[in-house]
Formats: sequence, C-alpha cells, structure tokens
Amino acid sequence: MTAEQLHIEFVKMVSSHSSLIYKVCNAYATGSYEMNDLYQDILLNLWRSYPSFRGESKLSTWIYQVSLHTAVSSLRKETKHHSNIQLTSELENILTNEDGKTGQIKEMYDMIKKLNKYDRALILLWLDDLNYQEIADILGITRSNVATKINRVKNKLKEMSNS
Amino acid sequence: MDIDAMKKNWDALNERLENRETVNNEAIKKLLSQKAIGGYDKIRNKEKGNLYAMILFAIIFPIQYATGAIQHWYSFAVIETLIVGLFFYTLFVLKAFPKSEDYRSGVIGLQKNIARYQKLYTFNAPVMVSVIGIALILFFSLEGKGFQSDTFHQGIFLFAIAFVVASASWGYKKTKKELAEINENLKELSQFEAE
Repeated sequence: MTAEQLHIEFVKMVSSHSSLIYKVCNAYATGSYEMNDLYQDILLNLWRSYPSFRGESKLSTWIYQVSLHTAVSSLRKETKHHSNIQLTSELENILTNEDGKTGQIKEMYDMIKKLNKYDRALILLWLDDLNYQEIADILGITRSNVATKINRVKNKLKEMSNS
Repeated sequence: MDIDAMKKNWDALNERLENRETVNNEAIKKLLSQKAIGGYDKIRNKEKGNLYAMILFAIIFPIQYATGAIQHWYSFAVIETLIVGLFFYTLFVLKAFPKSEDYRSGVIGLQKNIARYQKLYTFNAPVMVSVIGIALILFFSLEGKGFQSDTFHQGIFLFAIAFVVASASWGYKKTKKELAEINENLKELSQFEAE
C-alpha cells in the first residue's frame, strides 16, 4: 500500500469512527481548546499505530484502546500547543442543540466527569454497549472483574445522583 | 439521574452524533502532513538526540586530546568516562521506553508501564545535570583551569559551579513535583485494580 493510499484509508476510517473519538474526548477534556487538543493527540496516536493494526480485534475496539489510552495518559501534558489546526467547528456545538435532551446529556457528562479516569473509561464502554469481553480486552482486565467494577461504578453514580 | 436515564441520554447523544460532522477531513490531512508529533515521540526524539550528541562528543574529545587542546590524560579520561557513561544511561532510558502502540496488555497495563517509565525518566534531568556538572568541574580543575588559574578563568569556573548547583536544585524541585503526580497516578491505577 502506498503512503497516499494509507492516508486516504486512514481519513476514511477516522471519519467513520469520529463520533466514538468525540465521546471519549468529551468525557476527558474541559473546554474547546482542550477538546481540540485531545482530539488531535488521539488522531496522531491512531495514525502512528495504524500500520501495526492487523485486524486481530475489531476496528472500533482498537480505536477505543488508542483513544482511551491517549485520554488517560499523563504523558499527554507534554503535547500541548503542538498544532493550531482546528479539526472541526462542530465539536463545541454538538452539545448545544436546542432540544429537550441537551441539558440531560450535559448532566450525564457532568456525572461521568466526577468519576476517576479509569472508572470513566469503564462506564463509557458500558454505555456504548460493548460486551464484557470487549471491555476486558480494551482495558486489560478480566471479564469477571469488568462485571464487578461496572456494578461498583453504577453504585457510585447512584450515590452521586442521590446526593 | 439514574443509570437507565443515563443510558437513554447516551443513545440520544449517539443519534445526534450520527447526523453531525465531528471531524473535518481536510484538517486531518493537514495534521498528518505537518508531521505533528505527540508527547511520546517528543520524549523518544529527545533521548535519541542526546544519544547522537554523546557520539559526537565521543569523537570530538579524542581529537582535542590528540591536538593537545586537552593537556592531561587523566582529565581526558574523566570526560570520556562521562560521555560513555551517559551514552549507556541514555540507551538504557530509551530501551525502557514502553511501546505506546503495544496494546496487548490493554489500557491499564500500558498505563502502568508508562507510569513506571515516567518514574525513571523523571530522574533524567537532575542526574544528567549533576553528573555533567561534577565531571566538568573535575575536568577543568585537572586541566589547571579551575581555581588555580587566572581571575578570568576563575570567574568562569565559579559561574559554572553556580549554574550547576542552581540547575540541580531546580531539577530536584521539578522531579519532586513530577514524582508526586506519577505516584498519584499509580495510586489511582492500583485503587482501580483493587476495588
């Protein structure tokens, strides 16, 4: 595959999974600048690991792995201000639709953001309907551990909403 | 908001995202064409740069010794030992660098490796500054260009000592702060695994 073909394929792949990356970014970043910055970091990491992706796992599983790894990694603070490319003008506006759900979606993200970064990853994957085995593969924990931890996070969220 | 309501809101968000463009294809192409690099590559490139610098110095100093710019074999030995030592130290740091694209251990395993590496890397700057500083002071003293030389060289020598002490002290404070952050991260990871 030529470099040009690889570029085209990558852009196509990112476009078809952009909502997944957006959901991760929104759970970890605060403000539009940080959001854009995290989005770029995820794209760079995806691009860097793309040649080594051999299709052993589902494409979405791999994208989740790279995205979550980038979002929770403390190495990310080294990358700030590396580029001023505005990836999209829509990022900020997605949650500001004037329909009845906007406030509730924001409230949901506010609750997710109160969790620690690893619990956040867990609940994002669960909300996105990934099965326990997929969650276990992405995070690198056992399947039974996933079930226990999800219950614990659910309880945490319940406590949050009651308080 | 209970967990069921959360799930409904998540589905509503998914519906909303289906009809929206969250990324501009042209911007991705521009980003890739700029060859922008993330934090991982920056650290690795910095270490590689250090390695090339050591090789360069390892070549320059024997030439200096051969041409008589370095007068004593023992001061030459000090500087060459320093360079070879730092070369292997940098090589070790570079080899210990976890491969960010290796996801076999999952996100949690990779984070653990990164935190462990960061702990090692945190000591890089203070170790480098202290070792280089001590070796240079020793080198100039052995070459007779330290306190025993003229006022001009004594001034430079004193300035160099002050610079090394200030840098090492700054490095220590920075390291202490960074280590606290890394330990906090490791604690969070351990808690997640233990719960």
